[in-house]
Amino acid sequence: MGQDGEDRQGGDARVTGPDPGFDDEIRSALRYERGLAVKALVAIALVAVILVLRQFVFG
Amino acid sequence: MSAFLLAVKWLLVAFVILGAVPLLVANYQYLLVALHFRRNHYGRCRPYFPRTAILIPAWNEHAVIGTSIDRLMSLDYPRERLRIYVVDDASTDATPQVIQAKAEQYPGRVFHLRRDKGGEGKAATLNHGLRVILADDWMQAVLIMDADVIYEPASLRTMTRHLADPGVGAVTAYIKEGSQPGNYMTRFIGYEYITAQAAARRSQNVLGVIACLAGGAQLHSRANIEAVGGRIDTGTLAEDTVTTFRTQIAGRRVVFEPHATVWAEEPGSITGLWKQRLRWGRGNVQVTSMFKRVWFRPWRRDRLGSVSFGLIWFCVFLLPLLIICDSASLVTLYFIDNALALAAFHVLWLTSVITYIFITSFTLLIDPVIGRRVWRQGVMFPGAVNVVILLAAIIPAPLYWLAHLILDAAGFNLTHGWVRGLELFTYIWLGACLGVAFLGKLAEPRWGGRVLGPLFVYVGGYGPLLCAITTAAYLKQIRGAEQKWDKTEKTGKVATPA
Repeated sequence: MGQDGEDRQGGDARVTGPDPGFDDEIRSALRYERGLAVKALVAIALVAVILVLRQFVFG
Repeated sequence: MSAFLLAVKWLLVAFVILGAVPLLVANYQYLLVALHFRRNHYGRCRPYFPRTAILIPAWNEHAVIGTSIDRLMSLDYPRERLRIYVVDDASTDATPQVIQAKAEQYPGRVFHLRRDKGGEGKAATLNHGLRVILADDWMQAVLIMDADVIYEPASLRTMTRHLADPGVGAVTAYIKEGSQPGNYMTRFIGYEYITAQAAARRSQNVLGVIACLAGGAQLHSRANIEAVGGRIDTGTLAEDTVTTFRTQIAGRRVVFEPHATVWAEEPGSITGLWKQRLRWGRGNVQVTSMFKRVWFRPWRRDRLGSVSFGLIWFCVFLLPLLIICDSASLVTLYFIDNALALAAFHVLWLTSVITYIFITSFTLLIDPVIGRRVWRQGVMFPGAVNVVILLAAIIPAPLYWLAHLILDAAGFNLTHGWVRGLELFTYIWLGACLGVAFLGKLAEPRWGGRVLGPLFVYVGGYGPLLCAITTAAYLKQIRGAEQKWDKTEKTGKVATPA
C-alpha cells in the first residue's frame, strides 16, 4: 500500500480509501437480500393459501 | 375424426401451452431473486474510489442540468476524485450558458464540451465525451448518466466498490421513477421498474449475466471502456445493451447494485411512453440479430449463451407473438373442439393466476417504499378485464353468484349461450387487449383523451400496452422504417422522496 493508498492487485491500480461505513453497509445490503428470500416464501405461501381457498371454499 | 384434424387440434393445444412458457420463465426469474443473498458480488467488494469522470450527454436540458451538476457535486465521494464532463449536443436553449456557469462555479471539476453539430443521437454525443476523457490518463472509471437523473448521495461509492474486483467491467444501479407529482402512467412505470430492475437484474446477478446496463446509470472501468473500443455503438437504437453484451463477451463481468439508487423522470403520457419504448423495442430487435451467434450456446465462456438467459431474453422478446398466437389458437379450438379449448385454457389460466399472485405480491415486497405508491397500478398491470378473468379463476363461485345477481337485476338469464359467448370473449380478449391498450395511444391526443387514454390503459392493461409497442417495433423494424433518436422529454420534475 502506497502513501496515497494505492494498492496494486494484478497490475491494476486499486485505490482504497477510508470508508468507515463499508462493513456496515455490506452487512445491511446482505441482510436486505436475505429478507427478500423470506419475502419470496411469503409470496409463495400467499399463492398456496389462495389455491387452497379456491379449491375448498370458493371453488 | 381424421388424423389431420386430430393433428391440428393438438398443435393448437401446444400453441396454447406454449403461451404459458413466458409465465413459467417469469416465475423462475423471480425465484432466482430469492437466491441473491447467496449469489452476489458483495464478497469481492472493497472500499474503492477510482478517479471517476461523470459523462452527461445534454441536448436542451436547461431545466435540469444545473440542478443535476449541483447534486453530483454533493455526492458522498472524494471531491478530488470526481470530474463532470457535460457534452452539449448543439443545444438551442440556455443549456450552454447553464453549463458554463457551473464550470466557473466548480473550476477544474466541471467541463463543458460543446458539439457544434448535434442531432446524431445519444451514442454519438457520448463518443465525443469519451474521446476527450480517454485522451489523458486521469480517468480510472467513467459514469455515463442522463442529464435529469438524481443520484442518492451514497450511490456512486456503492457502485465503485464492485470495480475493486478487476474482473468486473461495469456496474449499473437501480433506477426508480421519481416524477413529483406523478400520474397514473409514471406509477405504472414505477411498478414496472421494480419488476424490470430490482427483480429482473437481481436474478441476472444470480445467473452471472446482465441483459442491459441502465442508460442513466452505467459505471465502467477504464479498462472496460478501452476493451469495447473506447466508444459506444452508434449503429443501433440500443447502444446500452450493445455495450453490456460487448463487455461480457470481452470477458468482464457486469454487476447490478440494487442498493445504489438513482431517480429518473419517465414519460407521463402514452405518447411519451410509446416513443421511448418503440426505440427500445427496435433496439432489442437489432441486438437480437446482431448477437445471433450468442444465443443458446451454453459452452460460451460468457454467460450470455446460457439456456436460462436465452429463455428470459426470448420470452420477453417474443411475448406479443406468443399472446396473439395463444388467442388465435384458442378461438380456432373453440370452433373445432370447445371442450379441448376449455381444458387448454384452464392450464393457461391456472399458470396465469399463480404467476399474477406470486409476482405482484413479491414485487410489492421487494421495494415496499415504491410499492406503497404504486400497488394499485401493480394490481391493474394486466388490465381490468384480465383481472376480472383472473378473479373468476380464483373465486369462481362468488363471482358466478354476483354475475347471476347483476344479470337477474338487469332482467337477463345466464343461459348456456351466454356462458359460451363469455368463453369466446375471453379467448379473443387475450389478444384483443393489446389493441384496446393501443386505442389509448390513439385517443390520448384527441378530445377527451385525458380521460379516454388512461381508461383504455386501465381496461386493456399496461402490460398489454407494452406488448402493443413491441409489436409496433417489430413492424417498424421489418418495414425498415427510418431510425430516429426520439429523445424522451424531461421537465425537471424528478425528486427524491422526502
